[in-house]
Amino acid sequence: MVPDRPASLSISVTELTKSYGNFYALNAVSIDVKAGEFLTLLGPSGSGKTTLLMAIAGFNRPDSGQICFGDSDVTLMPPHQREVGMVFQNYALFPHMSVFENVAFPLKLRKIAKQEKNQKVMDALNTVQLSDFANRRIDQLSGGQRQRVALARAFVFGPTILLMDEPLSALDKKLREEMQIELKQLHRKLGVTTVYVTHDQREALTMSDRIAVINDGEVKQIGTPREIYNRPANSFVASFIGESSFIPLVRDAKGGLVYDGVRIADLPSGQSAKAWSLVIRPERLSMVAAKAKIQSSKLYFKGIITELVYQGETALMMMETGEGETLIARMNTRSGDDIDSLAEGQNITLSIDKKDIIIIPDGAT
Amino acid sequence: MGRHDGGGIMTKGDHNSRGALGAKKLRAAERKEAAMLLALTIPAIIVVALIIIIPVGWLFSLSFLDETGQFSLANYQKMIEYKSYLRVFRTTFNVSFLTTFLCILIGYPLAYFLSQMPRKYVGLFMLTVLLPFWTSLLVRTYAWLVMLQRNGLINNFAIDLGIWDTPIKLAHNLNGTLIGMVHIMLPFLVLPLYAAMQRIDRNTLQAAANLGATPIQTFWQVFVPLSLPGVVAGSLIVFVLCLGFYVTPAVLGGGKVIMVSMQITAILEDQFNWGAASALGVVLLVATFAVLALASRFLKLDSVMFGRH
Amino acid sequence: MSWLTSAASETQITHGDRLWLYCLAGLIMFLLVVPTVIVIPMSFSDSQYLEFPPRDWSLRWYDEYLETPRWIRATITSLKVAFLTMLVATPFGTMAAYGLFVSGSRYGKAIFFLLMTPMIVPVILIAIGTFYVFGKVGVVNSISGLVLAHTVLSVPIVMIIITSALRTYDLNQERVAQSLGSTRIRAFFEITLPQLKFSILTAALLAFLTSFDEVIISIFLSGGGNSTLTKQMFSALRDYIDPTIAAISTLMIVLSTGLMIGLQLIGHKDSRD
Repeated sequence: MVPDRPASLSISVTELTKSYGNFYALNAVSIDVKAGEFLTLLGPSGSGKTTLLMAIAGFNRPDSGQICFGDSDVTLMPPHQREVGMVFQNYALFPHMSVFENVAFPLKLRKIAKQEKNQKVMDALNTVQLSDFANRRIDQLSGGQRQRVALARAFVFGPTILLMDEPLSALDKKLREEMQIELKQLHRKLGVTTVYVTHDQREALTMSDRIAVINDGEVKQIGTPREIYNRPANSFVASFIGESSFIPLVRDAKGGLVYDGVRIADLPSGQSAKAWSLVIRPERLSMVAAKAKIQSSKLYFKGIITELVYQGETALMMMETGEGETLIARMNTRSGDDIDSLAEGQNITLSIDKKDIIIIPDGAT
Repeated sequence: MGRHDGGGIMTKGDHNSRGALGAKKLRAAERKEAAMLLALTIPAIIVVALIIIIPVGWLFSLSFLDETGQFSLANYQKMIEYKSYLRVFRTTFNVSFLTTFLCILIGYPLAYFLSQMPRKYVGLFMLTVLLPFWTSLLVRTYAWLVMLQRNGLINNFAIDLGIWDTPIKLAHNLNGTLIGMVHIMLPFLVLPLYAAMQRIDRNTLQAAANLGATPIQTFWQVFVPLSLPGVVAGSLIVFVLCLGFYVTPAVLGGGKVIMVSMQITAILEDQFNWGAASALGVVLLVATFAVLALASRFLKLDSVMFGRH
Repeated sequence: MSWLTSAASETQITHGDRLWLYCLAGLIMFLLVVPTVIVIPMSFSDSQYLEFPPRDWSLRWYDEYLETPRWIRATITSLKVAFLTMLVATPFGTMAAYGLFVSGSRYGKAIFFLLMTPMIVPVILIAIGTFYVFGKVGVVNSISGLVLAHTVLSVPIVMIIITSALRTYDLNQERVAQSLGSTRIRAFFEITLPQLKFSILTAALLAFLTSFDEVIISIFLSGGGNSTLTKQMFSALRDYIDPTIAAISTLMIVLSTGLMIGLQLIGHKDSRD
């Protein structure tokens, strides 16, 4: 470790805009990444997340805005001077070089002495568990091995920032899940500021310190996994993360939000949205026994089961209420509730704790 | 209700026995179909046999006969002994090497430029390579003859602009031949080279830049090595074509640049000596195959073929 | 001037940095095109020594061409031979390409290389070899002999084009047709062939041009009344620089360029639909 250089730098993106003709890939995006944190840019294809990552790496020039690493403004700095490590989606390994030569490449460019260079390369390969593969050609490696070479090459020269563009998307499910954990451990070990791009919400929830949800070139919400999941700020985040049921709410004269005659909550202050929705996470719904006492801390929904699907450790239930709304509920199959006795077409009552409900401004994205 | 069994290859009886009998009939049917498909190549094979195999084979045998029709190696001996033959070989190889070298020098930047152009414009620029490619060899050779003459375009232009004072002899010599051949061979190098450059993954270049390589370092340390197979493929095509080339050296060489193909023709026109001519032809053929065989050790030849189209 | 400072690629190298490359490439492209088309304006020059730019414009060399029976006969011969070559080489090559591609037999590779030999064997050898054999059989200076030889030169080109077209073609369509009750042959003619239309047209055109522009074999195999245009031109070039050749060259350029550009336009329209 170089003692007089910080282990990692913070990144601040201010009002970054990038357009291609009439299409705005990034629309005045501002994000602050803390030094050492693992931030994920999460969004569907075309959301702008990769454009943002590329802007940070220097592979596209923004139309306006600023990018700073720590205290320095790097907005106009060419990519080869930015000192960031990057892992591309298709790894982009050099096919005409061996594994060792690939990883040594950045060190060779920085004219590191041979002894030290060899040491660093082997250290990096050890970290990714590929020390026996040093002399292999790239086309002899499997997908997972190539991914690890790309990783080793990205951090071997001790960058203060690491960028990853959907590095696990080409791997099969089991390998992906293993690599997610390995990447998390690597991040803990290196302590380097990491910006990670993915469209897989489960991956984002697993790996990140914070998640920035992006769509249409804008940051929809930024927060910890728990915040994003439990307190989505708008309908996009609520529907993109996890499954949800949306129930429209009505405003009453006294400044409250009402469902089925029951006052759910007060109108949150400082919000100008006209319409509001209730967002219900499927795993928060419970079945209510026929004779159970009504509790004021819960909200109740009565309806008919329209769909019941056994999916292993959980069962998915779709229910239609009297008002024609659809609720999605996920039941644990080993719970005391007698799932096996249920059938489609049956009447059922579901309940949810009032503190588990989420209210979002509808239409305010 | 008719049965659509595509030819009645199998009857109900075959299905009853689930053993080897059914499987054998299946394999036989499969082989028959493969054979019928291969039979489609027969017309092409026949013409190739008639025009290539038989004549070249005949030439091969002719080369081993002397004037009296007896078996002899005299024709090949002459090749080693006569200085004129050795000069012809040397000229042919020199011209081929020089042409190939110049094509690489001029063609690489052009191919690189084309590979960097956005898709919208590539077609337009490619037209400048394809236009000569589509134009008759004879027409292009003629154009150079007219331009390189003493009082031709180039000399007149240069004198008018003051680049040189007296007309330089650009035609009917080695210079003229090289100029003409490079012009004709250039598309044969640029097209496969461009195809190879297109196949280089852009991400690899970005990765190099990200790791700290300046654009120049990226070009020399990553792009050029990855483009080498394309260079080899193109050079091969050019070199092999140059070895057997006739028209352009015949017209632009002015009798001073004698390549193997011209020597062969001269022997036939002057002496009608089939033995000597075919021996030379065999040497040319062997040289061509040797170059290709050498290259196939380093290259997959089918990528050469399909890279161009 | 802002274009000069804008990025030419993701590595942020600017167009200004690459200006030298653009100029060099421009020069090379200029030098590629100019010699190809310079004959065109020169062919309208009135003087015996073709001038550029022509001092006096006239069509005298075109008149010369049209009024000399030798040239006209040669042109007709070349057109006949090229047309016949196209008619023979295209089906032969297409059948061979299809048969090899679909059968996937282990002999396929050997047959493929056999059929590629016309591209590898130096043309001069094909020329003198066939000259000798045809001489023995008495077929020299005949149109059919020439067509045969040109066909052999064209077959590999046809095969390459059709094979690469087949690679991007979904052969499952034939299998689907068969599962719906069609015979294999019918599936080929009704399903595959129409979709290969453009490639077959390209191959046919290239076969035509290969034959029309071919020089060496024509020198040996065509003669007397059956000389091809290229043979006549070559003889004329060896002896003196006949300015009529400029007119003929112009016509040949117009023919091949016109055909190829027409082909590209058809292809463009096709893919647009």
